[in-house]
Amino acid sequence: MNLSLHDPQFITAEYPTTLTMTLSYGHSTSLQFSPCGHYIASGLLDGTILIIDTWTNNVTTIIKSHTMPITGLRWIYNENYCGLLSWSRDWKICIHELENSEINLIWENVFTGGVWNVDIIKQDLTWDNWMVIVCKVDGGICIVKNGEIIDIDVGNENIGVSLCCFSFFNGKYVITGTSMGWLQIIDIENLKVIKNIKICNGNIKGVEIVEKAYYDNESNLLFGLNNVPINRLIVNSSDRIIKQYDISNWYKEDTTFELEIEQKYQDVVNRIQWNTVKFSPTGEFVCASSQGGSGAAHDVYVWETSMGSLVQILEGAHEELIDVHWATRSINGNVCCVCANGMDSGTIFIWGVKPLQKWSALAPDFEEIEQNIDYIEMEDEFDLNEEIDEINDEKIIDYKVDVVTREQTDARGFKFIKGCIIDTKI
Amino acid sequence: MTIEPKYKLRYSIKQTHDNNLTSTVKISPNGELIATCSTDNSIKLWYLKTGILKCKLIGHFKGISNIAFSPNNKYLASTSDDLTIRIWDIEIEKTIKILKNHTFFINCLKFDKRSRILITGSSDENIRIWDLKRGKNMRILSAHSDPISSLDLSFDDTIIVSGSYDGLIRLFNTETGSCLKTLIYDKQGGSSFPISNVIFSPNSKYILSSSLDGYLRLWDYINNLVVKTFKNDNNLPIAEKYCLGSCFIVFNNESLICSGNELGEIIFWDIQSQDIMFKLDASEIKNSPIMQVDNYNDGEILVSISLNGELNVWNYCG
Repeated sequence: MNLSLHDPQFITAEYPTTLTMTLSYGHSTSLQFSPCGHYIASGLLDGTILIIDTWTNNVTTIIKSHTMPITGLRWIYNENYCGLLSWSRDWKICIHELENSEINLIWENVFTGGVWNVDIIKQDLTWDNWMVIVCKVDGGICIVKNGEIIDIDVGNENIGVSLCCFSFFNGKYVITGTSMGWLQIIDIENLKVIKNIKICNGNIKGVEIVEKAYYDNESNLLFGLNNVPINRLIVNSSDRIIKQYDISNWYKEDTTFELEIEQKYQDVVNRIQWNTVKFSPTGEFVCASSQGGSGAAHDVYVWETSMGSLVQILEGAHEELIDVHWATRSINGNVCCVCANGMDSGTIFIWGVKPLQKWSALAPDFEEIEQNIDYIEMEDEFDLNEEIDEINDEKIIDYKVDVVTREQTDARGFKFIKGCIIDTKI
Repeated sequence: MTIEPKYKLRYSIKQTHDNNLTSTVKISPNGELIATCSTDNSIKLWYLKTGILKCKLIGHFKGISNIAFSPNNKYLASTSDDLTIRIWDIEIEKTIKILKNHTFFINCLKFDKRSRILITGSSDENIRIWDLKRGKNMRILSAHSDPISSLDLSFDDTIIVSGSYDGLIRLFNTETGSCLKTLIYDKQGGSSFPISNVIFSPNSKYILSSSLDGYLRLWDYINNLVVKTFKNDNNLPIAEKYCLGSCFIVFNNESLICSGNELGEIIFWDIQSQDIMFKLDASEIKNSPIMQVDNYNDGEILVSISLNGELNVWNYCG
C-alpha cells in the first residue's frame, strides 16, 4: 500500500543488498518466511518451533510438537487457509492449523525411521483433501492422504534413495531427487513413477520449481505466479554444480518431461559445496548458502537466472549458513528479503533493502535535485494573482471518488496477499 | 438537498459518567461492547445490545483522552493526561501493561490489525510506536512541531497518517518510521489551520481530515489534491475548538461521511456531491459538541457521545 509513496529506486530493488537484522532466539536449525511476509517460522535444535513477527521481531507463538532438532518447515497457505508443516529428527511429521488466530496441532505421525524431506501436494489446499509427500531415510517415498499413509512403488531400478521432493503442476506431479543423481517424476493421481532421468553422479540435495501462472479454460488462475517468466527447475547436487533447467515443455499435454539446461552455477576456484539453494519467488534470481571449509566465505550467493551472472554476495554472517529462504514479497512493505540461519550459533540473519528518508517528503514544496540549478526568476513569478486560486478550486468539484474499492495489486504489479493473523499474547 | 434521516435512535444514555465530561466512545470490532472514557479518570464498558454497564475500569489518575479496542477484541488501550498508556484485558477487567515515555498529554492511539503494535500521538509533538509484548517503545516519530491530534493506519497497516496542530498531515512508513509525504492546505490565507482529526477511507486511497477552520476535506494523498470539501450549512463552522471524530459510512452501498459538530448534531454528507443529506440531534443540551461518532460494520450501527456525556446508539434503517 505504501509503495507508491517510496523512492522508485527502492521499490524496484530486485534483490537484497545489506544485512538488516540478526535474530537470536535459540539455535535455529531451519526456517521459512510465511507467504504473507509477516512471520518467520524458525525450528530450533530442541524441537521447538517459534513464530517470529517480522515487525516487532518478537516471538508470537511457541509450538512444542517435537523433541529433536527440526529439519524442515513449510507454510501451507492460500487465501482462506493457513497452516504449518514441520518434520524433525525425532522421525515425526506434524501439521498445525491456524484457527481463530491460534496455531493448533491437528495431525502428527511418527515414522519408523528418519525423514529426509517433506512437501505439501498443493491440491486445493482444503484440509479435507490434503496430501503430503515424504522421503524416508530407510528408503522409499510415501504420501499421506487424509491421515492415511500410502507407500509409492518407486520401481526396481537401482537409482538410490530419494532425498528431496517437490510438488508441482498443482499437485499433479511430484519430482524427487535421489542419492545416485537421478530425478524421478511421480504421477500423484495414479501413484506411479512416470520418468527417471540421470543428471549427475552425486547426491541430489535439493530440488525446487517455480511455475508461471497457469489458467484453466475459463481463465481462472489455477496455480503459479504471473511474474514468473519461465517454468524453471533448480537442482542442488553434491557435485558442486547447481543446475537450472527450463521445464516449459512439462506443462504441455503429452509431455515427455524433457530437461533443457539453462544455467550452471558453480564456484570454479574454491569448488564450494552448496548447502541450500532456493529460487526467489518469481524465479528471476536464485540464492545459495555455501558450505564451510577453511577457505570458504560464509555468504549467500545470489545469481540472476536468465544470464546466469552472479549479482550479489550477501555478507555479514560470521559462520556457516545452513538453511536459506527468499521471502515472498509481501504487503508489509518488505521489498525483498533473504534469511538464513547460522550453523554454530543458530542465529537468523536477514538481508534486505534499506529505504532512505526522502527529505522532500517532509516539506511538500521541496523538490530533490541531482545537482545545483541556476534559477532564473520570471518577470511575473511573484506577482499576486488571486484569480488563479479560485479557478483551481472550481476544477475540483466534479472529482469522482471511490472510497471502497481496494487496489488489487501493489505499485509493482504484484497481487496483494491477504496476510494471516496469528495472535500475540501480550 | 435533505432527505429523511437514515438512522433511528435505538437507545440513549444521558449521563454516562455522571456529571463529568466525556472524551470519546468506541465500539469493539465484534460489535459487542461500547467503551466510553471521561475526565473522572474512569473507562466504562457497556453491552451494545442492551446498554447495560459491564464494568468500570479504574487506574488512571488523571482524565482519559482516548481509548481504542484491539482488533482481536481482547484488549483495550487508553491514553491519559497522567502521561501513561494502559492496556486493559477486557476479560479480566484489569490493567495488564502500563506504557510510559511520553512527556506531555497523550491525545490519540491506534492498534495495528495484528493487535501487537500500538501507535500513540501526544502533545509532546511525538508519535511513538510501541511493541506491546515487550511493553517498550520501538520507535519515535518526531516530525511535527505542535501537538499530534489524531492518527490512523491504512488497512494493511503500512502507512501511518498523523494530523497535528501545526497544520500538517504527514504520512509515515510504519515499518521504518520514515516520513513518506506531507500534506498541507494553504490555499486560503496562507497558513493552515490546526488539523483536528484524520482517518483513512475504507480502501485507504483517501484521507478525510478535519481542521479547526471548520471544514472537512477529503485528500487524494498520492496526488496532493483536496478532492472534496465538506461544509456546514449557513456558513457555520463544523468545529473550531474541539477535535471531533468523523467516520465513513459504506454499509448497504451508502456513500456517506459523518461528523459531529459543536452544536450537538451529527451531520451526514454525500461523498460525491458534498451536500448535507441529513442531520441527527445527538445531544439534549444544544451546545454540547459531539466528540466522537464510531461505527460498527461500516455503518450498520453508529454510536455518538457528547462532551457532557450523552451516549446515543443509532441503527441504520435505510
